[in-house]
Amino acid sequence: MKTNYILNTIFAFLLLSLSACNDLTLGPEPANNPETNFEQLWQQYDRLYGLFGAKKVDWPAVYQKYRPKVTNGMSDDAFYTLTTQVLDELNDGHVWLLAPGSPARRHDSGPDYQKGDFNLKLVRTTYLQEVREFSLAGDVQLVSGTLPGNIGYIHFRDFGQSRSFYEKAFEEALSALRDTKALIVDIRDHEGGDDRVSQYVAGRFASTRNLFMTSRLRNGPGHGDFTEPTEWYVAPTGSWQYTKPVALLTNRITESAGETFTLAMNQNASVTQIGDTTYGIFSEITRRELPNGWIFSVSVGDYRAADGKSYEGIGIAPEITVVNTPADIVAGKDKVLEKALAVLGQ
Amino acid sequence: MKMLFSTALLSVGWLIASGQPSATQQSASELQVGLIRETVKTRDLQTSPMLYMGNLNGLRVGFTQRWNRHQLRVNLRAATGSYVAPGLGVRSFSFADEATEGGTPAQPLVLIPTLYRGGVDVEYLLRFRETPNHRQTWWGIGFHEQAGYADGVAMTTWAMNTASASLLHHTRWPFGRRHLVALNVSLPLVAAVTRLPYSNVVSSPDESNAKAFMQGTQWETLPRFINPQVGLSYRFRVSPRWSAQAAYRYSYLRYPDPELIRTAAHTATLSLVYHFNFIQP
Repeated sequence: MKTNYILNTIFAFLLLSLSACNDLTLGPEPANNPETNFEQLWQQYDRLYGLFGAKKVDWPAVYQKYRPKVTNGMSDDAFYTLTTQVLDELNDGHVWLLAPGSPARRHDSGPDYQKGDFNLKLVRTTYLQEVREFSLAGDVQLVSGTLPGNIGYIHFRDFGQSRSFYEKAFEEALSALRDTKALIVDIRDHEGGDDRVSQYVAGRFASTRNLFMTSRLRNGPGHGDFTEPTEWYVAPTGSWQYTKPVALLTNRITESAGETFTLAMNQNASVTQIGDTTYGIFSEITRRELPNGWIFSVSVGDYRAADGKSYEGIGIAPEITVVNTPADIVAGKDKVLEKALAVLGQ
Repeated sequence: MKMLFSTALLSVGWLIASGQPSATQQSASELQVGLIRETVKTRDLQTSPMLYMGNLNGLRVGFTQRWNRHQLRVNLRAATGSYVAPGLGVRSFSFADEATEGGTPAQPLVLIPTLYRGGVDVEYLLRFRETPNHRQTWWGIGFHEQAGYADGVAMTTWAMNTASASLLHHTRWPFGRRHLVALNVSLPLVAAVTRLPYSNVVSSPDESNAKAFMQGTQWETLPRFINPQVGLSYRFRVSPRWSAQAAYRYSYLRYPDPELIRTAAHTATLSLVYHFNFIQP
């Protein structure tokens, strides 16, 4: 009996000791040096990036081009510059690199379209009447009002809040404009957000159910390994729909969920897209980090319009192209808005 | 789910068949309320190549109903705390070009993720042996649900959920009338494991993120899902109604998909135990 007691005690302590040792099985962390950081960065994009095919990027060739330039002796700044060059090969506005510090360093891959062709303050002060704001936590998310000729106006900053916020705020804004003869939906300088919000808001203008997008996400190490396509439909949402003529205003800074919204809105027969081509970034992103603490984003999906084409890096061209210059804005003139008023006023 | 229930039912059936009912059943109940201090170390290659460490504080509530030859234990626990990679430290990001309208520089972004961990255990055990000095050996089956969520790990969301049916071992060593040492061991036999998918993104037009996340649940068994737990506790009977208990538990988790995750958690608990409907000594 005493033997059993001793054996049990030994068993208990052995289990506890083994458990403490098990911490070691968490595995070693990778070294923090330029060569390891480069390998980590390249491998993460290799296994996760979803647009090699759509953008025709030869990723192994990028490795061959840049790997010989990386040495453990290179400075932090030199490695940062080289890393930005690697990411620029993707030419993807959803891809960025962020290095902590004061000041922090941030680099965005993709085209750097100049801002300054849109100013909401100008619209509010020069054109808009009966202005209403819809805010969340002190930030104005949505601005509505009326324009000459009984035309309504709604501007979305982004679709970054929960769907329930838009269900309530947009319902209120749209209801106030229900009796207008036409509406301008302005998504210039739209910063993106949740595609489900895009789908919901576009549904407030829909009278039929239409496919507007398919999405696939990487699900394996091969560059062609994707999930089955998910179909995104725009269909009537809310208690009623605004089916009178709508002008959708876009510019080069209309991004991401602003663009999936554009795809959805363009399926509605009552909508005319006016302004400039959108930025050209659609995919969901995830984020990763390197042993040196830098964080980077990766586009993990292949998003296609209803016509089966990828508009990544291209953007959605408007039906009527009108582009403000920064000088127009400084002069107090919004040619895009005025064109929309003219089209809707006809 | 069907598999989990079948395994649980079969195991309970086997345990009941193996145990021998007592001629006169006596029962004892206890309620435990405790404070948790937990250290969690994780290397999840799905999120980061770095080891993350969480220092968590939390609460635990437990209920035990014990009869002569079998017992039912229910535990609820929740803890939260910072979750930082020691190799990276606390990172802050200051942007010189970002200023508020008044011209004041924007506050730097300080990246300190928060980890939330919670769980529910429902365990049924049968007494298999008791020595003349009252050392008891119990075996049983348990349903263990464990959920974890962290925001801001590499500026993204981390989440994991496991629901498992486990084999349990419990040994009690009473020392005199006031002291009790207990050993608890559990090993999952089958588990439902939910992790973010390969892309690390859930995106669905018709479902919430939580629902889309749960749809990625995979059924797993040993050796793909490894999650042994071992615990040791000491209890001091302060009075017929009250005891104080100190416990330590270690758990290790290893799961290979979509990328390897390994976690070691050390949990210390200080509990107050209230005895009611107890067997009179």
